[in-house]
This record gives sequence, C-alpha cells and structure tokens, in this order.
Amino acid sequence: MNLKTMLYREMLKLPPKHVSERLLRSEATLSAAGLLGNRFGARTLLLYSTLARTLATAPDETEVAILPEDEKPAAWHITRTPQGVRLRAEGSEETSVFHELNLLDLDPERRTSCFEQIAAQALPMLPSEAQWRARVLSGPLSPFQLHELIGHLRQVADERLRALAVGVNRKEQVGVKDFIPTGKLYYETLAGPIRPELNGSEYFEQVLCPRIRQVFAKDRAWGWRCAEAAFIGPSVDLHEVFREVPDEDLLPVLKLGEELGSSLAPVAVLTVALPRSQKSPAFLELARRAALQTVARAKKAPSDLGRASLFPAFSLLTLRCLSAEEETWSAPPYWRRLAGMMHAHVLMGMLSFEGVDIRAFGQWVSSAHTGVGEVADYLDAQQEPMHVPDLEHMRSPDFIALGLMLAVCEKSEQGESVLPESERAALKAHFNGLALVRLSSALPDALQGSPRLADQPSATQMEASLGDELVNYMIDGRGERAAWHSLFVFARHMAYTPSLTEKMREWTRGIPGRHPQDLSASLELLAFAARIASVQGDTGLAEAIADTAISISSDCRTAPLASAVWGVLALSAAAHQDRQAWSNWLEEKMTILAYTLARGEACAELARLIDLMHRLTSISERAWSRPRYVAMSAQS
Amino acid sequence: MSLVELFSSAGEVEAVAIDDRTLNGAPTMTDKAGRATQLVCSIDLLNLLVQRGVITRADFDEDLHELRRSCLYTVPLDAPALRSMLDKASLDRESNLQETAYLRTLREYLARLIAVDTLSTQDDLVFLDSLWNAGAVTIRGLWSSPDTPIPEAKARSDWVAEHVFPAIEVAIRHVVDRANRAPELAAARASFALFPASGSTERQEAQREWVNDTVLGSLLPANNAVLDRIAQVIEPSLIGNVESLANEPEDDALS
Repeated sequence: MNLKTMLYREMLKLPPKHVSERLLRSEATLSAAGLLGNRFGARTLLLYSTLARTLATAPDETEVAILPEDEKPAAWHITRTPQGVRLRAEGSEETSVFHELNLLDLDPERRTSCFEQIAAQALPMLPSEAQWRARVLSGPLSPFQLHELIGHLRQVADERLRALAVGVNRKEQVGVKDFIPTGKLYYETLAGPIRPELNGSEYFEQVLCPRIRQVFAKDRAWGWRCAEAAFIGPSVDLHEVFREVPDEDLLPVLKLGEELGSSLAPVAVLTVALPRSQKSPAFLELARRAALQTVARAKKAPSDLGRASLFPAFSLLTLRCLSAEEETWSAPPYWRRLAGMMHAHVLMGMLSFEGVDIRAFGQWVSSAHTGVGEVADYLDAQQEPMHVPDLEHMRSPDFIALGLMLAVCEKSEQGESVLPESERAALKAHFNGLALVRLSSALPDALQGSPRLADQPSATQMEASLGDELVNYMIDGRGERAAWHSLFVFARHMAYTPSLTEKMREWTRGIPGRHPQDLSASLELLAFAARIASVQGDTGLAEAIADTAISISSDCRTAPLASAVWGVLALSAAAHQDRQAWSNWLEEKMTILAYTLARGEACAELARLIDLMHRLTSISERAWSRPRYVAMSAQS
Repeated sequence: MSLVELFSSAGEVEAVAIDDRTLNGAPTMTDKAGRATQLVCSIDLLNLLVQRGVITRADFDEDLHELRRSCLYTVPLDAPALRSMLDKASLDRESNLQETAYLRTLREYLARLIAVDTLSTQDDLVFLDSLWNAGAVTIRGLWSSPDTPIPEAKARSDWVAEHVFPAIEVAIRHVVDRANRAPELAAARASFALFPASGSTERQEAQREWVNDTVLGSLLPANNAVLDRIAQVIEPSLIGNVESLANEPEDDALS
C-alpha cells in the first residue's frame, strides 16, 4: 500500500460519521484512498475491477490467473462458465461459483440470463428492476455498478427480513434498529417506489395494485403476502387486483393465520374469497372462516389480544422511524404510513415471539421511539390530513376490520351466506356500547383516504345521528373521548354543517370546565378537536382550540403536559391549508404559548420540540426561532 | 451637562461616553465648532480601567454580568469569559450541566435579546458572529484541554451549542437573499469542529461523536444538502493535505 493511500485512509477516519459517509460516496475519494481497506467496503470494489479486467480476455471454461495490480504472484484463479465465475485460491482445490459476476462478462446473452436469474430470486421485487435491466443490456456493469446492485439485493425484503428474524432470534437484547430497517430500498421493495407527484388514491391505483399483480405473477406466496400487508380497505381493491387470476391459482395461497400479521388480513381474504364463493364451496368456506376470525378478534378482551396488540405499536414505530430517516422523511405521508403498516404486518408474520412477555414488549415498542419522528406526525397533518392511520387506540385495527367485514358482507349478494342478516344485527347489538365500532362500520379504509361522502344521502343521516349521539354523551358526561373520536373519524368523510361546527366550538371552550382536575384529559380531547379542525380546514375551530389550550397552559408544569399543549397547537395549525398562513399562525401561537407556559421543565420541553421541528424544516424556511428563544429564556 | 451642551462643546472634553448603540455607532463626535472628540461607551471605560490596573479582569467580568442582568443590548462575550463561567459549573449525576447564576443570566440574556427581535441591522451581525466565534473557540478549548474530563467537555459543549450559538435563521433573518445564503452559512458554521482538537485518541473519538450527534445530527433529516456541501468543500482540501503530507517524508520510509 502506498503512503498516500495510508495517509488518506487515516484522514478519512477523522471527520464525523455523517461527513465521512458522504466522502465515501465520491469516486474521487475512493480513488484517492486507493480503493483499499475493509473498513469502507473498498476491497470488494478492487476485486471487481481486477476481475472485470481479467474476464475481458479470459476464454470460456478455461482457468486463468487473476492479474494483480502489483508484481506479486497471482493469488486467485477464475473460470468463466455460463453458471457464473468459478474462483479458486492458489494452492487450494476448493472452488466457489459466483453467478452475479457474470454481469461483468462481455457476452450480452450471459449477462442477460444472469440478471434474469437474479431478478427472479429477488422477492418481492428488485428495486429499479427496469433500470437495472437496461444497464445490463447496454454493456458489462462497471465495478461500482455491481457493488451498487449487490447493495440493492441486500435490501430486498425477503433477504432483509430473514436476516432481521435471525438477528432478533439470536440476540438477548434488541433495539429499534433490529426491527426496523433503515433506508428506503427495503420499503420500496414492499410498498413500491416513492412517487411524490401522485396523491394517495392515484398511488394505490397506478403503482400499488399493478405491483401486487406483478409480484403475484412472479411468486404467489409473496404476491399474497404483499396484498394482505397492503390491504387497508376498499382503497386497495383486492378483488379487482386478482380478478384475472384463476381459482386454482388463488385458493392455495389464501391463508388464515390466527394471529399473524394485521387484523385486516382476514378481511383481505374475505374480500377476495366472497365474490368467488357462489361458484366454489372452498371459497365460501374460506370467507366464512375469515368472517368468524374477524369477529373473534374484535370480541377478545384487551388482556387476551396477545401478539395482535403489537401491530399498531409496530406500525407507528416504523412510521416514526421512516419520518426521521434522511432517505424517507420527504416521501409523501401516505407512502410512509402504508410502508409502516406493511412492514409491521410482514414483520409480525416472520417473528415467532416465543417466550416473549407480549405486554411488556408492547409497552417497550410503544415507547421506543420519541423525538423527531413523532414531531413529523404532527407536521404531516398540514401536508396531508386525510391519510392519517386510525391507530389512536390499540383496538382500532380490530374494530376497523370488523366494520369493513360488515360493509363487505352487506354489499355482496353472497354476504348473507357468509354472515346472515340476523348475525350481523346481533353483532351490532353486541358492540352497541362501543360507538367506535358502530361508526367504523361505514368507514372506507384504515388510512381514511377516500373522498368525502358529503354529497351522498347517507352523509346527512350520519351527521344527524352523530349530533344526537354527541349531545347524549355531553349531557351525561360519560364517553366524551369516544364522542370526539367519532367526530374525528367522521370528519374525514363529510364536511360538517355550520351548526355542528358552531356546537363543536362551544364544546371545545367547555372542555377544561368539564375536566377541572385533569389537564391531560382536557388536552387529549383538545387534540381530537384539533385533528377535526385540520381535516375540516376549520380555522375558526382551530382558533377556539388554541385559545382554550393557551388558557390552561400556565398550569402545565411538566414536560408531558407541555408536549401535549404543543401537539394541540401544531395539529390545530394544520387547519390552515396555505403553507405560509400555517407557518405564521403557528409562530404566533407558539410565541404566546412560550410566554404563558409555566417556567422550568415545561418551557425546556417546548424549546426542545421547536428544535425538533427545525430538524424537519429546510434551514431557509424555518420560522419558529422566536418562540424557541422565549422558551429557552424561561427553562429554569 | 445637558445633551445640548454636550453636542455644542464636546471638543472641550477628552472623550464622550454614551451607552446608546444609535448614538455611539461612529468612532468620534464633532461639536458645533468642528472639534472632534473620541466617542466611547461604558464597556470601553471598563476596558481602560483594566488596562490601567484600576480594576481586575474578574471585576470587569462581574461588571459585564451586571450589564447583562440589567438587559443592556449587545454586551460582548469573549471565549475566556465564557470558559471561566463554564468551568465553575459542575455536573449532576446524569452528567448534565448544573447552571450557575452566571450561566443562567447569560442564557436568559441571549435568549431575550433574540426573542425581542431587536438585532435587525447589518451591524448586529457582527455581534451575532462574535457570539458564534466565542462559542466555537470555547468548544475547541474544552476538547483540546486534557484537564477537562470527557463528560464535562461534552456537557459544557452541549450548553454552548444550545444557548450561545445563535441559530442561522436568526443570524440572517434580515439579510438579502436569505434563502440561498442560509445553507451556505450553515455549512460553513457546522464545519468548525470537523477535525479533532486533541491528540488523544479517546478524546478524538468522543469529540467526533459529539460533533456528529449534536452539530451535524441536528441538520437531519431535512437539511442533508448542508452536509453534502460540507463534504464537497472538505474533499479537495483533504486530498491536498494528504498529497502535501506524502511529499514531506522519504517515499520509501513508509511504503
């Protein structure tokens, strides 16, 4: 190794990781470092470039020595074969075949067949497969390209999940990074490529559904796994996706795991099986079992939920990691939310959780990630209020699944044979106490992304019953949380009338009076109201919420309470659809809050949260410095 | 002497002291008769007293503390004074810095100055820059000094980074072409501690980690372009340094 290389490698160790990582992406740096050193993975590059040079002149099926760069004797011998490049160390009889090295071969046919083999094995899909195919056709890959492709292959979901499951099962102590892969490639292989120019509905239709079809054509088991993981309700129309697939191909892959994956998985089975049940008893049986399983899950007591209780926690944890990651934070919120749910689903299918205390583990998962990812959730409300995953409650996915199941059965002609009308009525009666379930039965999907139902006749009827329901709740003082939650859930499907909006403003102002001894309860209700304001774009309601939150902020002395008041304001601000108006409103309210919040811990928390907001904002667009400094001046 | 008398006969005195940043912006004051007199402020007088040995450096720092407590605008802060204040603060059990009354006054003072939005002219940039320089020199000093244990260097650097460094968007709030200059300025500022200040491997590692997490990590995820810019800027200088270093010793000595 020459002196410059040694010096450069030493120098590269000096800058902090964030900078040295960037330096190592540059070809100039790698050349200066002499392409050497295990530390930076450059040995592989050296091997590839030496191999490429040797392969260019090597005859087929004949062993030749690798030509080293220096004058030293050859340490390796290679043989070109259609199956791959065979490598043998000097003085050894053992050989290994590396099929991916055929991508360095000059023969286009050999390269193409090698690539097709690699692509077929990459499940569910090789990232940027079409671009890679075009590169392979245009000529041998350069050593850098091969290095990059192998990096991509390591992120393919099948490979990544196996490595992840092995890692988790072996380790006694695990951290967030053991469960949640970093980088966008892994998630792109699951949920499809990030397409910022598309909205959620367009993405589901134009990218996600064709992709599920493609994966199914390639590998049925993975195709169905992706379908189940991506299923969030009618927005992803699985019946349409699999319409052309013959019964005999589909039936063997439709599986009902008792506790695997998400609560929506049995409804995915039902959605596909029900339309085929008229002609096939096997599908009818499957649809019946799926319906029963959905009911059984929803009827379970919270203490008996088992591993199913981990799904919302893992979904949120993944979403927050994606929102804090350099490569994925700027992806559209619907994409991050979908990718979070899909990862949680496949992860739960892969891990056994044997001997794990699910309750304690669930608590750990729920509290594992705080910070920038959570703040991102609040800021997403402004960018896209409609596609909020309804995971406010651990039971939400079960209830949404039940509601969807009832809706699917009611709409289908075969619904009666799967779940008779009398049983549906009995179910509704059973869950009568839970407003959430009753209301959920009308919901389009778990991401709530469908257009509003405002113009449909059912909307007026829904609003009427919602109004009465709420008044009852308000009068007797019980179930106010469920009432606000219901209002929030409905807010995504209909525009509220001025009279209901006016009522909500009054109820908002009265919240602290109804819960005089419990600040956190008041703030939780205000947060629901704030979500409603953001979804409805109701700036008047936002103003009422902000006034109420600020009026109780002087009693907020702890960090969690300060964080809750901040959350209420951040969510209310999203009622302003215009980015500039949103930013100005938030700055004004945050500044008032910084002055009214109790000194000490609460102000320190506010300053910290504003710092985190800064991390999610381009440095030239930051607007919340003033409240940050006011809070900093009062943090002790 | 009234203000009118002062303006009409300033030439008769050795110097005029005015604590008003609008009035004492110029170096001299000229009266009606055209006689120029040196224009100073209280801090100049205090400096003069230190130079002449009338008061000690500690008295001077104490006086500045009083000025900050009274919330006078743009009271200067230099690295030795900041270091001295930090050295008097101890760490709690969780290795957090326990603010002394001096540090608390300094934090509240700087935060208040920025919060009331008075630092709005080009000249104020000089004050903000001086704060940034004092902080950067102090942090480098903390990491290079073997007498400061690593947890203390980290906790004190955290405090300086959080409370003394003015935020970029504040520093250039009123600057023309703000949107384009912000990333450039952020990159220049974040580069201050890229290379270790100490010869000890342990301290180098700790400093690298601190810079990575606190200074650079705070730019992620939204401002990764700033980090790209830093890498672009230091790459040629790294290669250049290596080449000049390689040419110094005999080639075959290390190869």
